[in-house]
Amino acid sequence: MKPCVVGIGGAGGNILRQFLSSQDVDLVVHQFGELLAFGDVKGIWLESATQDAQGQDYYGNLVENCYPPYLICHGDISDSSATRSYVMDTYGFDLKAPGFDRRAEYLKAMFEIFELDPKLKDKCSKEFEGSDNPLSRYMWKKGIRPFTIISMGKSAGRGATKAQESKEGLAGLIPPFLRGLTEMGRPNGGKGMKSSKLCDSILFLASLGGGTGTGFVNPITSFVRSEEVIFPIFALGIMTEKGSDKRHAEEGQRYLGAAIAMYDLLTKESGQGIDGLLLVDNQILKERFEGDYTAMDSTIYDALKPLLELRNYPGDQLQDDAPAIRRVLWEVDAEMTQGKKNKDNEIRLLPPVLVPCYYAQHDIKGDINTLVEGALGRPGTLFPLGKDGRLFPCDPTKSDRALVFTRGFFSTQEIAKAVSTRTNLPGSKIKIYRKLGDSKNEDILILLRNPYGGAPGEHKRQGTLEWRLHEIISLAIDYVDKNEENILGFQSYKKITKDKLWDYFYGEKGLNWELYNCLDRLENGDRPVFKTPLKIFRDVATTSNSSESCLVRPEILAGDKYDLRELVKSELKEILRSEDCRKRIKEILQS
Amino acid sequence: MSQTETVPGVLWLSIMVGIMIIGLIFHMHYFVRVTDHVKKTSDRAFQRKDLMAALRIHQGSNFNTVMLFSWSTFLVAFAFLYFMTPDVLGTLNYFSFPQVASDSLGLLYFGGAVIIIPGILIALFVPQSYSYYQISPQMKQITLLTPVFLLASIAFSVYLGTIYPETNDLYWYMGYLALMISLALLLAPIIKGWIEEMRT
Repeated sequence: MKPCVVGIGGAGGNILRQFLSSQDVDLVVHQFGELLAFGDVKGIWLESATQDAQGQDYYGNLVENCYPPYLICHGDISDSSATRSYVMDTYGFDLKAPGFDRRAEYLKAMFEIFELDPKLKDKCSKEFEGSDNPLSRYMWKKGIRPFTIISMGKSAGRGATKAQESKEGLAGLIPPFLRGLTEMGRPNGGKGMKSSKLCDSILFLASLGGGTGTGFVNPITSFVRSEEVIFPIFALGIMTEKGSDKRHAEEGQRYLGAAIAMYDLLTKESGQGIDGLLLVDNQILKERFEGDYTAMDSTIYDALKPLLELRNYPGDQLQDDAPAIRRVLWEVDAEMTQGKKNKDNEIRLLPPVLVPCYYAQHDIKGDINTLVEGALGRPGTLFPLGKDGRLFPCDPTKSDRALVFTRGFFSTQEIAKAVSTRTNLPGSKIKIYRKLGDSKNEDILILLRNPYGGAPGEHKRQGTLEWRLHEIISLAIDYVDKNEENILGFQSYKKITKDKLWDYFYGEKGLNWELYNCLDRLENGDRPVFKTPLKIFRDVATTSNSSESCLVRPEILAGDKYDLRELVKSELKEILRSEDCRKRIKEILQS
Repeated sequence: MSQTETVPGVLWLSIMVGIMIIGLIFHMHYFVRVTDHVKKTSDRAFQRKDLMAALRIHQGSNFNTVMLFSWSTFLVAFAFLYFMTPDVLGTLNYFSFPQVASDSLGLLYFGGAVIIIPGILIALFVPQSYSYYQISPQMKQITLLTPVFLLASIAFSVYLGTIYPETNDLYWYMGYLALMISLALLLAPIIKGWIEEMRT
């Protein structure tokens, strides 16, 4: 697997640095060829805060053909853009906002209007060469796509600059064996890049609970999916830690952003969004490294190394390519499919949650049991966290699949046996990817798929995924309940936006209501936790300040039938539980 | 300066050739070890070329450039030290070709000939040999010192060639030492890889 790693926002950019750290010699005065990152991955940092991007010296501007590059998300929108003015005047959103400080709903709403407002679509299409979203289009076509194999055969060089063209023209005059020595890093990746150097998948890195990363990760994946239905896309979400952060954002506010992002990522069916969400809890890393963020970022990078390692066992080269991993992630058990079909005669596949568990031993012992135990922890020791390799709280025995990546000399049978003993999974549900490693360390990465659910009351057991998600969602609900002014009182919001946001947060079947349902599911051990896709600008034809502007009714999303039934059920449950209802039933019975 | 020939050049030459042979043995043994390990744990039969292909990784253009330059320079430094004067190997030396030796660009021709003929072989095999090892960026950074020692060795050889028929033991030793250190640096990634493999 050779992903294009896309760091979004501040945290995404910091972690991406680790992924792009050069494995080559630094010659200081001149660099030959391309930057060599571990696993030959490519990367790009997407940022909305121009001042943050310019205030560092690691990334260079992609527009200026630098590598490793950053790309300002709104770089294609001019100050005097008609689309920008329209969005600002009608909804109060600034397309060129320098950062989206802890407001996932801001970006969510901003992307939705591009899908729903026909006048905006029209304006945007005229201004941005037929595109209906200037942000997503720019990030995808200018930023990410040229680094992927998708760019092969397409007009990847459409945006090539004159300098680049002249450089490539010059390259044609140089004998092939010297070309590698004369290239000065990759300019605007993709064009002219050898196919072996292009990436076969995308891995987004974003914090869950930040601003830009939390808000952008979902819309950008949706946009990519509108062009590429089966291209493997994975996301690594780093849950922000408890307490207030250095920007004085409270945990409740950040967890609300995280809940919104997770909700949107995990309720998009196969072919509409990501193929899997890897969850990492920064709270665990913070406790382990006492707040040393560089060490925390480095640990995340180290944990993914077995996945990125290119040295497969002989004859196993094709087993870990991205499409194969994508297929395994979506693999469904026959009994699960049957269960779904019986309810409404259709299968609804939602992306899995993946918990990375990593352990490395520096002494070569050849003992797979030690590695597995280090990664998953000993049986019965879910808490305290940070003592083993689980990067997000979970009970390994709850997972429905385990993807095991090892570096070292281990046989498939011994790996399967060790993992099976700890997770209780049958061999058929343990997928093993062996790499040769470096003879210096042995390490293991186990991606546990959906390690939750199945039994009620698990939210009370410390160290389970249910327990942590319950905590996150409870804090998010608490923030929503107590901070209506803060959520809706953002100064630039227009009335239509405020109304829609109120409806989204507090309205009937809004986010708050749905989050309560999520808590119920966690308490009851139901799977999945997040079910019904939610939109801010939903289900009404609304007129805005501008007489011509209107939002059209969005199309009913797939799988709604099943979800509606679920909603009615839970609504009825809630009514029956209420004091008022109980009183009335009592009265009826007494009479 | 002294006129005596006290520096044991043949001994140093033997040591250096010995180190190179040991490097080659380590390189071969590394494959034997890895093959054994993989055979013991592999699910299927595989051919040696499959294993070689699986082991290969790109080490980076900078590293390859440095290594190509260093090995080529090593040959030049080696040739300059042993063939510049008749002190070590007797009749076979630079001064046996008076047209070249008396030319103002003679040293350049000499160095160029050494680079071109075996240099082509180096270009074919050196990057490939290193590609079978996981070489850490720190180790790669250390190899940057190689050209420095090699250039120093060449400078000492040129000095000795210039003062010939007189000689200077200190410069001989310095030349040998610089060449030895650079050889050790060139072989370090292979030796380190072998040592790590031996731990398994």
